[in-house]
Amino acid sequence: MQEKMILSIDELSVLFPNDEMTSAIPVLNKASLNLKKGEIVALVGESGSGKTILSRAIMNLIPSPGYISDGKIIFNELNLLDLQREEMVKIRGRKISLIVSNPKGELDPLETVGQQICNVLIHHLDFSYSQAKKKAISLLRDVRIPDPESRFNAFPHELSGGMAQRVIIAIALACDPELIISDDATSGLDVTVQAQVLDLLDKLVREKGSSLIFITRDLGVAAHFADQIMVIYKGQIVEKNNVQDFFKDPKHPYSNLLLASFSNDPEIKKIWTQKLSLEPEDISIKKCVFCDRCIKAKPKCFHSEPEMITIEGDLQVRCFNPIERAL
Amino acid sequence: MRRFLLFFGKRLIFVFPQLFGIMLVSFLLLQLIPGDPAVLMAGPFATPKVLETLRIDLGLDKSVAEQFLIYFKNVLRGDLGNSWQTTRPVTEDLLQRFPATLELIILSLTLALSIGVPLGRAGARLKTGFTRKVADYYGLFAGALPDFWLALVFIYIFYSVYSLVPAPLGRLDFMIIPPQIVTGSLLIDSILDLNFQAFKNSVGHLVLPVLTLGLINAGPILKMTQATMERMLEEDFSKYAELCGLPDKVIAKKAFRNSLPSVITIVSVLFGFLIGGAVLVEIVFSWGGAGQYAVNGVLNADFNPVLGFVLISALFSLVIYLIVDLLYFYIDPRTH
Amino acid sequence: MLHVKNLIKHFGTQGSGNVVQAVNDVTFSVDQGETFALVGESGSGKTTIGRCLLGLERPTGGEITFLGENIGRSSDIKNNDIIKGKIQLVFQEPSESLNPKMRLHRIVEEPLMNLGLSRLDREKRVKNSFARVKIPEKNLFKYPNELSMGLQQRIGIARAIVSEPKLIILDEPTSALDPTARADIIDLLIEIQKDLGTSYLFISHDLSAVRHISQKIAILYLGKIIEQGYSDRIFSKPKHPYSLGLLSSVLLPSTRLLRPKSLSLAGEIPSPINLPSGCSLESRCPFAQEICAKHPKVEKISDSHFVSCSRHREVAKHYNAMDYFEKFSLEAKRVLLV
Repeated sequence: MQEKMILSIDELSVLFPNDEMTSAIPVLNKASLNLKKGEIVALVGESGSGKTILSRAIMNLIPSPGYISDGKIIFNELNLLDLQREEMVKIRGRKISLIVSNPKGELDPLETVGQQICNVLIHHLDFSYSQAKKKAISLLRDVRIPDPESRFNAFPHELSGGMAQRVIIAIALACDPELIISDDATSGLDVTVQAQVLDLLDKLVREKGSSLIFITRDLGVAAHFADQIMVIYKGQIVEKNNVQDFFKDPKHPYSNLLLASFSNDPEIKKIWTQKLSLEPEDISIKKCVFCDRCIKAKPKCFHSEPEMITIEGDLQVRCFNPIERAL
Repeated sequence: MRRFLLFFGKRLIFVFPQLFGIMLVSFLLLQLIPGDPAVLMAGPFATPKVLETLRIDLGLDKSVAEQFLIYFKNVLRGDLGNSWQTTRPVTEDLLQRFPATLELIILSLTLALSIGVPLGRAGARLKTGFTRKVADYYGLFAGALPDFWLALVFIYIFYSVYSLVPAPLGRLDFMIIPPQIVTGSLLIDSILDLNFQAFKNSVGHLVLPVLTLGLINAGPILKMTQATMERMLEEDFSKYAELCGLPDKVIAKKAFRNSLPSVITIVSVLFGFLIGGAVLVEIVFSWGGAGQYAVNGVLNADFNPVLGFVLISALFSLVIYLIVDLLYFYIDPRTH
Repeated sequence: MLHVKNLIKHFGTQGSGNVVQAVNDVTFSVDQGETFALVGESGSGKTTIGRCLLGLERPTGGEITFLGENIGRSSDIKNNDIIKGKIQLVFQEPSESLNPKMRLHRIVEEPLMNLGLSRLDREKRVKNSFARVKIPEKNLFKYPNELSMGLQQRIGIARAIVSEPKLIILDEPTSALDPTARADIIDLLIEIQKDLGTSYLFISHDLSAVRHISQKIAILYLGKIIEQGYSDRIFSKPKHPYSLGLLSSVLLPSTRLLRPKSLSLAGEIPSPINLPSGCSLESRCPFAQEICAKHPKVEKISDSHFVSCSRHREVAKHYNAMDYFEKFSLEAKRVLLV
């Protein structure tokens, strides 16, 4: 029985032209992703990996001068890239919503947080103001903000980072979206607050059966909350697997390097870390994006790009020499 | 509430030293104007003895410091001295002229706001198209046109050629019975007095100068609104609103609300400027306004009107800035 | 070498009569060649302590002694011939702490300008610094924006070591960095400490990094040290509920080591204005009882392990001692030593 795919991204590429408009950098390169209903996928990558661009591409809001050069984004059997602007506006915040990081910077400083929750209810679901206010207060309660009736009238600057992030979550969940994208939602929050926010998000998402793409730099978060994990490096998705198997046996050398950097063991680090190159990259040469830092790199890796191959079950790798372990 | 009153109180207290400083500086600056007031007053045929007596009368034989102290003491009593040109107390003159200028400025700025703000908003939202071009060019031209020139052009077209408005000789035709003075504003006073003849006539006289000042001052308001709104539309909260799928109208409203402080600032600056800065238009229309009064004082070394004007307009400016600060306080919850 | 005794720092707020009690009676010492970590979340006062040590803030009370000299105001450090150049700082955001208009070699040279060295000496030291942080010399004339964040932070470290300090204060040096860059920087810092014998005061909420780099640790909550001692002891046998809550919030990349949720702390850190008279954690503590309304005494568990909790014995009973970081290390070895 085929499980319902809520989101299917097929070979998505996003280019950013350089200042002189002479060439374009592939910020996202042939990224593919399949998300089942009710699934939580962690998209793990570092800065510059393209993970945030992917979230903006799904919303079709790539900041200019970037543009989507290729690929399809199929959501509920509709290619989002074919939609007109007015149709896309109806989907954003309603069927697909985004939880951003830096919540206090993203909220309107001159509006109360309650009003900002009401905005999405009024414009997407045609609520009257009083209906929206009631729902907004119950949402504030759901995200565990104490004293929601009076916090409704609070302004963003009056809230702590953790509270503001909960408001953002409330806004994202207000219209019961089918797909939620969380872009680095907990970076900048204290460790104990992060734990609370993640628990909350996990609970709410599972309760409603929504699907969640969890974008993060933190492998630990992926291990604790996600069903599937995807590792992204320099615009390419290099490994996909279910979380259990991934942490037992990561296949791509970069996945291993990433895991190694959480371990602090000098022996481990010695094996997986290579010298960082300070030279600028020549992007015209076709090669594996990771070969410069890869301990398993062979001559082939410097001359051709590996494709994403399904090894078995959930496991897919983009590598000529994936790591083999005796298990 | 308590925070608000403290803030208000603090600002109010500062008004007094500010006014004193302005008084002192203007007084000293006026000493630099060439021309002996006694000579100008008495005429070219006066004898030295007459001039000497006049000088003692005017207090010009005393030191600058003494003169200032006398002036300051008088001001505290409400006496701004006399103008030797009009032979009336400066206080009376100003009471008559300031309302004329204020009525003009308030109506002009209202017109300027109703042109500048919508065009600025539209210009910020639309990157291309006809409206955007109109906004861009308007800002350009309004900054380049001299106000008195525009006034003369309007007079020529609307009075000389088409006779659509009454002659540009002041605020009211001399045969119309003026209304009882309550506020000083002819429009309001005519209505209060039920004097519709005067109302119609004063409207007719107001049309061209208000049009002139309004159209020209819409320029800076437009530019400021457009620039600030463009910036607000690039801010994170606008991008986030887009991510939430909020309609463009709502995003524009939020961006505009966040731009209000800048718009209020520029209106307050224009207001302070126009109290004296409308003088050229006042002269063209023989308006009898405050700026005109002050300029005449400077040209004829008639100090008291000038000093009186500076003081009162400084007071007005300070009041305007105080109101502006209170508005900021009200609009932006972060100041609480 | 560095002794902080009963340090207090209170800030008055504008307008209202409220006092922000940022640091309340903090005492600790850093010895030669060791790394002492100050751990806490926002509002704990750890950044304020760092600023007091550098003379950027004047303490409201208490004493700070460094190399035998009393420090409390920045002019004391700059003009004091014994200690100038001996205490340095690495900031959190490399992009904000490096002057974008200055070339890298000038940035690294800056701390030497007050030390009366010849031009040649300064050049030599700058080049040595670059070598220590493993950045090739040909990058001497680049600008900060030409480097990645991780490399920028290395420049920050190069700048901190160029005056051969005895103590470096690091204020969240890894928080803005990616995981791979984080690991690199921590390793670099450990190597430098081994070679030069520099002491570190490591201020951070990144518990993984703290576990790896520090020998001693003090955990701060609302301006007070609630537990203090050797890192490996505290990570494996924490005695204070807040330490427990903190440690159990860390998510390690393993599907087998899941956090004990029952030890989570509810609510958020209260405001540092109007501190409660009893234990400051009482409102959030799963172990709180009547006795906690009274301010807890500082008790000594063992040599240099101090705890400020009236119920620490119950806490110890409840918690099955487990150093998650060690456990994860073993698991990581299993997976990654290939």
